[in-house]
Amino acid sequence: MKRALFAFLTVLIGVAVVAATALFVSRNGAEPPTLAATPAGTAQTASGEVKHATLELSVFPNASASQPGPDIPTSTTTMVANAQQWPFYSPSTSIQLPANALVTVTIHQYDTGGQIYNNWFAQPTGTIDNKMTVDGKEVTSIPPANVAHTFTIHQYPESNEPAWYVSVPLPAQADNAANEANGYPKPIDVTFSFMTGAPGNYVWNCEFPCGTGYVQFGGPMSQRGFMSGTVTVV
Amino acid sequence: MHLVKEWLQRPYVRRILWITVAITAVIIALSFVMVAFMNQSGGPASSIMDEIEKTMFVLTIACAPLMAATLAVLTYSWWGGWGSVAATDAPTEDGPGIKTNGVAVVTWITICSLLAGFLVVWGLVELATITSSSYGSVPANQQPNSVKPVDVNVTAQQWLWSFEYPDSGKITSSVLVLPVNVPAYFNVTSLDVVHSFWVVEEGVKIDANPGAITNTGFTPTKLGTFNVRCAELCGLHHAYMETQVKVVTQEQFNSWIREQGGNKTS
Repeated sequence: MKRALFAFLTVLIGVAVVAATALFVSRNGAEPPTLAATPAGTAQTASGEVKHATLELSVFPNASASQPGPDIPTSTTTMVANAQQWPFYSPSTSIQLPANALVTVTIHQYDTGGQIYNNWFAQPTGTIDNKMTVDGKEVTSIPPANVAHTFTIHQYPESNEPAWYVSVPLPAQADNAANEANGYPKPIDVTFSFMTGAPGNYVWNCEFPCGTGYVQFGGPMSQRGFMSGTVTVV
Repeated sequence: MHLVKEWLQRPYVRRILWITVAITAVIIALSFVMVAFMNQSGGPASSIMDEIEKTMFVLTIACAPLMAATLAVLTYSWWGGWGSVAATDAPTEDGPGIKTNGVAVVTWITICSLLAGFLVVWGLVELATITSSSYGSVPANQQPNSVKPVDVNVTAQQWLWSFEYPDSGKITSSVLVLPVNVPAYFNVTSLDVVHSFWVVEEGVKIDANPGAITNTGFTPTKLGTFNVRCAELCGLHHAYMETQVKVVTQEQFNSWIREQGGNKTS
């Protein structure tokens, strides 16, 4: 009887440890609130008239009084507090887009940058005609030595969802750019459009090494909510 | 020989042999299921993957009786084949010492040695065949093939693959496109951490190391869309670091190169 009781208690303790670990990981791994693209009627494309939606994002070099940082769950307060100098996308990194639609994204870029590792990421890929506009001017690439971040969507593994790849480079602010009243320089506005396909789950991340640690791919590059997130096509 | 015959006459030996035969049949049946499961995504798509699957299949079949014999003894023991003694009838003295069984020992060692020898020879032959098919470390322009290979510079970085075609105007793509039945040769590197370039259905996998170039290759033999994955844990989106390899006809490949802005085809 005593043996059976010990065995039962051992299993019970094991279950409790696993449950506590799962709860901890779940709470700390939670994603920011979903940011859905705004419907904008229809648009004419090469494949005919399709739904049109718009999305507006910003990239800040660090949190401040005017921009408090990623809206991630309170259970990660300590981590966020330690990470106030991390760059981050705002208002969310959890993005929802309509399926089979033209999506126009505008990103307001406030951060400085430098040389990107792979020059290929200095050109927009997967956008309409592989183009984008920088402050209203249409371009097919930017100088690889002057990249701040990228917005790069790629496909989800182990699925039957269609492959999807969109990558857009964001030009860097000048190192001596003057700050405005909000504590950041005048943003560089990057606008691009792309077509979404069938519903599916994807991820996106920045391909510019803007994090901490080895090859600058730690910190904000390795924590959802800052420089990487999800794209859900519904 | 008469010792073997006498041994085989023992009831427990015959029972264990029958269990061995049954378990062997189950393992061999499962090996067919395993290969069918592996091929769900369309493989094998190259001679290398053909050889790998053949090797897995042969080794499974060769080792099945050995595994089955072990499981058979275990199963026989679980079922109480050796008899049992109730706790209340526990003996008060030691039984006779266990004597060795010469026939069983010699048979076991002989079979295991032959099997090990077979596996070594088969493995060496297959290794040589696969290395030859994947070009080892011999540059593409020194290959004895009459067909000029398609050279591809593969770059890994967290958490994407990019493929540059140096012989076609240095065009770059996020998807690997190759012509069927034409050797492909890869110069693989990484821009940050260690990754691993794994072309699943083609049976090729090689590390992508920062600051170094590793080489591999294969000849795709099947049209279709297959998978490229990272096989080295590399950070947050490692599980998402995959793309496709599209094996197309030479004409489709030439068209694709032109569409991408390439100035000539291989």
